[in-house]
Amino acid sequence: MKILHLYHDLLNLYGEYGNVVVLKKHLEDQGLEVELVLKTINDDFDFDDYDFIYCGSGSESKTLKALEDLLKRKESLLKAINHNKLFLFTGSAMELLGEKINEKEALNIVPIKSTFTDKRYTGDVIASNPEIGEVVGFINKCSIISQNEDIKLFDYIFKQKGINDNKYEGYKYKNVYGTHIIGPILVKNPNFMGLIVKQLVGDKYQEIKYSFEEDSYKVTLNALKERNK
Amino acid sequence: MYNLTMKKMLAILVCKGLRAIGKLVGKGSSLPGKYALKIDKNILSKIKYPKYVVAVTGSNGKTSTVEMIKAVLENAGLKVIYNSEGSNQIEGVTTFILNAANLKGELKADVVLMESDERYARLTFKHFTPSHYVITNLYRDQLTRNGHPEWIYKIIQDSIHQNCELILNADDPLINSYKSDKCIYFGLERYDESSEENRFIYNDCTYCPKCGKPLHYDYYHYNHIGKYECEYCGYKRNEPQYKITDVDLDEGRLTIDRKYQINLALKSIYNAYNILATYALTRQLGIKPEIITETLNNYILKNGRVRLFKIGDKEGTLLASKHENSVSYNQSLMVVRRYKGEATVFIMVDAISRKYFTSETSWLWDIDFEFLNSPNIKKIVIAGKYTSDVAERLLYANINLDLIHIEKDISKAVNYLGKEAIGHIFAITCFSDQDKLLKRVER
Repeated sequence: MKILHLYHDLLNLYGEYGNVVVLKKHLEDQGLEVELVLKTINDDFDFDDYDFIYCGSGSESKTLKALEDLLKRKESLLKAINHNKLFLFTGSAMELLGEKINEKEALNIVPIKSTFTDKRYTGDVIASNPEIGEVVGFINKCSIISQNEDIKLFDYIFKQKGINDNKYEGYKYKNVYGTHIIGPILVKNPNFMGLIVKQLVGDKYQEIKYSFEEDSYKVTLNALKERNK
Repeated sequence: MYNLTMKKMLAILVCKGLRAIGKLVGKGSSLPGKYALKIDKNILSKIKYPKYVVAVTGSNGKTSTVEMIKAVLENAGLKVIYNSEGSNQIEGVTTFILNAANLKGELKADVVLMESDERYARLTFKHFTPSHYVITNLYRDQLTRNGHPEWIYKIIQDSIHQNCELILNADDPLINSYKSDKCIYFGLERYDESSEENRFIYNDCTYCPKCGKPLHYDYYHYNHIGKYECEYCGYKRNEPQYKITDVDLDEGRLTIDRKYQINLALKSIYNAYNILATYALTRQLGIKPEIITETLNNYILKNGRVRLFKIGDKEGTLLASKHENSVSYNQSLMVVRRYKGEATVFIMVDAISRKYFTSETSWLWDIDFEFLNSPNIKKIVIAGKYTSDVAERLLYANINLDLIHIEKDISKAVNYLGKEAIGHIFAITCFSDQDKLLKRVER
């Protein structure tokens, strides 16, 4: 099993490496041998060689820098997406696969557009997806995202005032999950982690409990629900 | 003209009045300034400032640096006005300036000294400009409010006026790139803990802030702080005018410009930087090196970052560390690691912030908890609401689980420390949570 942490030194602004480090351990607990590979701009690789591809948040300038590199890899990326490889792009990385970032052509794979503003839209959220359940997290962006509801990943259950989105957030396109929630989202959300692990392990998947992760999820979920009252 | 003068006086009077009442009832310091600004939104530009107006900004070290600058200047016989309450947004600055002014709007002092919030300096400095502006560093700090360091970089940029003398940390590639008519740099030369590979979890300057190509480092002190030079565009660390030429953290001693020795009350590299920033600024104001070193030698910060306590017969030190600020946490972890005896570490994350609500804990993954893998650390106790978030992070820092004791309930955790702590207790927690410890221990 091979995990790719893409732009590990560029798009890793909110402790996002935690996602892949913990995922690796969970896959190993399922009895798999796992290789975690770090790649960045100008490195030589093929997306299709990986079972799971992760990319996280960066500053606006670093996101555009990543875009420049990723545009050169579009063919390899499309091939892997069309082979139904599992992708998770979180934070600003989710914008890369869209049609445009500002006036700049992006990868044009997922039908979303984003525009940077000079404001930051930040706050805690609870977001829900029928397949995953309720997810907790934090949004920290300056972008306005326009997209249709039909590709949404989450419905907001709760969001703090500072967030400019409508009622939904993120996208699911083929096996690509995109969300603007930052940080170690898989570590903080055992359901989401479970879904990813299940998809990667397949039939041999066995339920394992991780008490710290379960509890940290519950604590934050309760804190946010309390806030929402 | 008459009306304008009256308006100014009224704003000053209201501010002083409200401040006096506020002090009696123990209210914060931003409200009087807020009302004064309502009376006259340009009041700050109508004040007569002394020749030296010194501002200090940056992610970390502001309060400590300002405190030490004040001590040096006063020791040199200067009269200093400064925002002692750390109210560094525009309302707080207004309160402090008007309160110190006479009714004619004059500040009778040699130096106005202030800590400036990174995000608000650009608003404050529309009304008056510092003569000297110290910028310490840009770290990942309170990103739930600040976005990210590059975002703050641009905001600080807007607060810099051409005629303002900048005193800049040359070792921070972001800070080193600020420009004005006069720039003075300070920096730390290679020392025994510098390394050619970054030993820390993240580095926000893996790419050149000027041209975006990979940035070469000769050595790192920590994170993105070190000596660097871009092989593509030539951007590099400016040669510092003021340098720490030698530092021995075990002995707790540093040397500035090969000549001036200062003993450190707090043996950390971050404290060394604050001392260096203080040295650079006060030298630029014409203070003699002997007065500076005399003041800073064994200087114990009064701002409460380090406190001693006891639980029964166990002795402890509180190292106040900012949540959502990994560099601040790392500083505390390094202090424990460097401690010569056996130690128990107590980590409490109960409220992320005392000022606003968030349940965001990503910042725990930016802290180098791996430093706790040290033979002198015999026990790690975790408490507070976010205990499991901390425990999960420690698990992935490869810390021996047998050393970790988890007790969410703070009272029970403190009782446990009283009974079971091995060696000296180091409590690492934030200002938002420290009272939850302090009220349960002897001080």
